[in-house]
Order: sequence, then structure tokens, then C-alpha cells
Amino acid sequence: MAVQTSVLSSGFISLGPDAGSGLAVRAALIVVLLAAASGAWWVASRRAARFRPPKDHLLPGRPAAPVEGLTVTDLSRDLGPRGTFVQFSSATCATCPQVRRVLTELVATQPGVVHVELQSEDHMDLVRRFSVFRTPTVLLLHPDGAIHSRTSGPLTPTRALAALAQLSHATPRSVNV
Amino acid sequence: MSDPTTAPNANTRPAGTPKQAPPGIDPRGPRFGAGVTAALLAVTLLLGTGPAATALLAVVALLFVLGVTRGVQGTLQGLAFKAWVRPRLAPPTELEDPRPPRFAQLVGLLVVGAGLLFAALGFPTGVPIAAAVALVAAFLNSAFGLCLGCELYLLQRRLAHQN
Repeated sequence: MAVQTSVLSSGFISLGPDAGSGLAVRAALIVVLLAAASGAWWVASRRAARFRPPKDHLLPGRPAAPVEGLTVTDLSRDLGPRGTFVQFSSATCATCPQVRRVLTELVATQPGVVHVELQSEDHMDLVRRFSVFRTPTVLLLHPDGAIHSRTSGPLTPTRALAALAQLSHATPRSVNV
Repeated sequence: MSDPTTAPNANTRPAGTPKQAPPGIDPRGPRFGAGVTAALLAVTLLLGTGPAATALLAVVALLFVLGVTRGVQGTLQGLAFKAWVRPRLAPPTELEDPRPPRFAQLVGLLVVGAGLLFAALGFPTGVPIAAAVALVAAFLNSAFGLCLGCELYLLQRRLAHQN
């Protein structure tokens, strides 16, 4: 059809009059684009799913946060004597209920562990202080409130339990509040 | 909009109280809808920069408008999912808050709208660029359940808080 040919030959990748090959190139570009997106998603989600020390989350060039822990005042409730999971949620967070469920169930079976869920909109000061860029982000705190590790995105009970086991073996650090 | 000069805790609702959530939706609905959107955007890319591509991108923009005004369950894809897809599936194991995907529809509308605006201003390359950006987001949502638009929400809040 005349209309179709004119549309194809006026493509954004001009490969001469051969409209068919232009279409093939565009199709190939789409495949490459989606493959790259899938790869980036895979790498990012693998990295985010781990509980990792808080340091590697600081942006380069930004001075290290002077306070690396949360206090009872920040949370307006007591910290867990074994550890505290602080979950940052938000109104448009699709994964937050899943993480809440995992942590609520974990806390029910682990005495001395506390789960605190914060609405990020209401705690923008904490969001900035701890460089939270996406929800859900979970901080795992030592009994004294110092941050042991953090994670973001979907959470499995296995990973949460593993982080808790690591925390129990770690030597407590002091918070410089 | 919240007043940027107020304290961080001063919000429309008391701190710590979760907003009363609207009834949940089947999370597979938005993913199905994103799949349809991704297919339309892929065809847009295949069409290049002609009027046909612009017209198809405008159709996608209209679908996003429906999503912003009525929620994802009110889009044509959402209605198709409810009528033809969901009856064939097992009941959902969990329901999803409809607000995040709705916010993502707004992000999609802004991206696609920018492409149309560039085309109207005489830069037709804006159409495939916007289609490519939106395609990546819709594809990731459909294939992996990752809602890129939802991720932008907190960044936007942080910017609003800074100023």
C-alpha cells in the first residue's frame, strides 16, 4: 500500500529506499532494547535483594552521614533487644505489603525482634538521612540502633532470617548520636 | 500540594496512621494492561516517524489518560482483562493497592505526551524516543512486575521536600 510504504521509508533510521530492511533494523533495535532492559533489571534486582552494609549506599562525593543509626526518638517506639527491621514504605509502593507480611510473620516467630514500618511521606528527614531512594527499603538495626545492613525491593523470609543471623553474630557498634 | 516550608511530619494525615486503602485490585490486571501497551508501543517504534506512528502514540496517550482519570482497572486493557482474561485465571492470591499503578499511568502519560509535543513542534524523532522509553517501562512491568513509574514517586517527593 502506498501509505504504508511512505510511512516505512520515512523512518527514523534512514537506510535508503529499502523500507523492508529499515523495518528489520527497527525490530532488531527493539529486541536489543528489551534485552538490555531485562539484563539491567536482573543485575539491579539481584543486587538490591541482598542485605548489604550501609556504606556502599552512600553516593560518591556526598559527605558520609554523621549519624549512622536511628534512635527511639526517630521511631517513636522502643528498639528490639535483638534487632529492629525499619521498613520505609510509601503510598505508591506495590511491593511494600509483601515485605510487611514477610517481616510481620518473622517478628512473630523471633522474640526480641521488632518491625517498624514508616510512611516515607511522613518521614522525609529520615528518607534523606539514610539515602532512601526507593520503597520498600528495609534497614536492619543493631540493638543500640546502629544500622547493620539494608536492602530494597521484594524480600524473602530466607533473606530476612539470614540477615538476622548475621546480626546476632556481629559485634555491636556504638551509635554516635 | 504540601507546603514545603512546613515540618516534615506536618502532613494531611497524622504520622504513622496508614491511609485508608481503597479496595485492592488483581495485580495481574495492570501487568496484562502493560503488556498491551508494550505491544502498541513496539508497533509505534516499527512505524518510525510517520503520521501513523504519531497517531498510534496518541492512542497510547489516550489509554494513559483513562488510566490516570479512572485508575488502571478503568482503562480499555483493564476492562478487557476483567471481561476475558480474569475469568480464565485462578483467583488472585493477593490484591494490590490501585494507587501505585495509577501514579505510573501518569508517568507514562507525561513521557508519551512529551513525545507528541516534540512531534507537534516539528521534531518527529520525539515519537520513537518517547515510545522507546515508555516501551522499556511497560515491558519491565509486564514481564517482571517491576513498576518503574511507581519507583519515581519517592524521588519526586524528595525533590519536592528539598525545594
